[in-house]
Amino acid sequence: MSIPNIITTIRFLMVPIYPIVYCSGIENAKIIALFVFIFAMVLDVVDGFIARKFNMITTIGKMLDPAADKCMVITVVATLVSDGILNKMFLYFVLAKELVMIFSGTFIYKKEKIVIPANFFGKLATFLTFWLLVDAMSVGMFIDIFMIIVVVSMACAFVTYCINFVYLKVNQVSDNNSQGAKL
Amino acid sequence: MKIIAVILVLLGAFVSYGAKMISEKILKLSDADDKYVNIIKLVGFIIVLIGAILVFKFV
Amino acid sequence: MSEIKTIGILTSGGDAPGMNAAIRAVARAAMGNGMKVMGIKRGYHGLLRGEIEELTSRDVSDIIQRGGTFLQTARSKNFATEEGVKKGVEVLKIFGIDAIVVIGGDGSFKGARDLANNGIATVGIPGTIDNDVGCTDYTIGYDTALNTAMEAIDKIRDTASSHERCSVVEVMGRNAGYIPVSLAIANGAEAVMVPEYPYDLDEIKRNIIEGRNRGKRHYIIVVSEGVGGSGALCKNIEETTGIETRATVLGHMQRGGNPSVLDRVTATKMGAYAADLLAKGIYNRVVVQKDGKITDLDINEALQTKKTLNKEELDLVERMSK
Repeated sequence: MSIPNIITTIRFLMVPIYPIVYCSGIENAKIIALFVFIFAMVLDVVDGFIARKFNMITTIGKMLDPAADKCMVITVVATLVSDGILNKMFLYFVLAKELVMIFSGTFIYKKEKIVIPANFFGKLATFLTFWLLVDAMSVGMFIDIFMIIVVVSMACAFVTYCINFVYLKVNQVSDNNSQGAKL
Repeated sequence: MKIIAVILVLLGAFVSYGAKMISEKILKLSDADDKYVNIIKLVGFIIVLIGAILVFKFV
Repeated sequence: MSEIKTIGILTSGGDAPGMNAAIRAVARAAMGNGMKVMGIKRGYHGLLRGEIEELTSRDVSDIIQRGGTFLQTARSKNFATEEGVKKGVEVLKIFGIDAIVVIGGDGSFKGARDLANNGIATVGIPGTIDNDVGCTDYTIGYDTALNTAMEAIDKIRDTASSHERCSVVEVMGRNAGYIPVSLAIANGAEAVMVPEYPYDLDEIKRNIIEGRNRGKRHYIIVVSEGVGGSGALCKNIEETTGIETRATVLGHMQRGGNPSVLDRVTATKMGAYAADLLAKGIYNRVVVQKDGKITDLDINEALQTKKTLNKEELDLVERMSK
């Protein structure tokens, strides 16, 4: 396993650690949990950086990286929801969005052999989600509005994803029609 | 209020999605000038955000 | 243009041995320069359809020795239109591709120029077995194709000698005579027929007869596919000279086979050069070989540059056949 992939695996292992720490009841549990989260995100940046800089990008790595991120985010959100800091609907929304993206991505790849790439809104949504969670775990200001902003970003990411897919599909269909069906 | 909010969301979405068209036809900017198109998209997004916040706050 | 962070690679037009080596060189050099590399399948056709995937270093391993192109190639009618080009630009934007490297012939460079006119940074690498790209002395694939064809014609010579036959061999080269002339010299042909210069069929037939009278037992006529008509030519020669004449169309085998040293090395040099140009922020160029050195030209200038077949080489064929 390459170094970046080892780091990604560590990030996966940190996922269950977060709720354990958060709910442990030890002194400053929530602050420690915040640092666990931040550390995991730092590792996310690091493994991507090393992979790119030292030419260690692997196909598995490209799939594990976002997967680890999503697991961590969902776990943190769920923990915060159970503690009453975040709204239940937010968790449902995030879960729904991730599941839809994963299934549609896999389905489209199997059927159409194309991979719809991540778009700007997706990256924006991830970025905003991180700060929302840090905010929720520390100062706790403007959480309502912040959640709405994140939800809108995620919605835009999803809409853009769909638009891109439709655009490519339309290209393919019109191409098929104009050149005659290829064998 | 609700209606204004929804209109804002739709308007913002329209502006963002049609950013390229807007920059070429309405503002008559030169072709293929990415920077301006991106700014218009961002403006549209912010309009959507404002509309969405209003929708949720006043529902 | 702001810094180039992601590049796409595509191969277009006819395939050529050494294209894989070029793809590998572009990919690895670009990755080494810190860029993300996307592979675009099936040329401009696949570009329009979004058949684009990120390439890792492993993806380009074990291909340097393979002929053909693992990204595949296709001709796209749609891309030739202005609408098609704009669609191509949109697709590239969706995939976040700032610049593309196009490996192919003149037709492919036209497409690259169209993309360049629409804001995409492009670099072209000449890849075709025909060596008919005007701006460069050498195109990737030429050497391997020549060697493949030469060996085939050597084999034809063996059997032609055994039967005292005349062989008309039709070789590739589209509308250029570079392949036919080089092969004619290398295989000691009687005559070569190329699109660029006229030929005198009667004189060729006279030479064949004179050769036979001198004791020659085989006669090889190399014909460019741009001239064609090898079947009819055979009948013609046989009827006039009385020598059994058979046609062989070498066909697509000339495109395949493991690339030679020259092709692997040239492809790798050109590929790395192209990636380095983009890393330096230089684009809308074509990588060429001039006087033994790898350099680059402006893409519009490159498309205007022409080269002509050397008449002296053509004459050499006839001089050597006597």
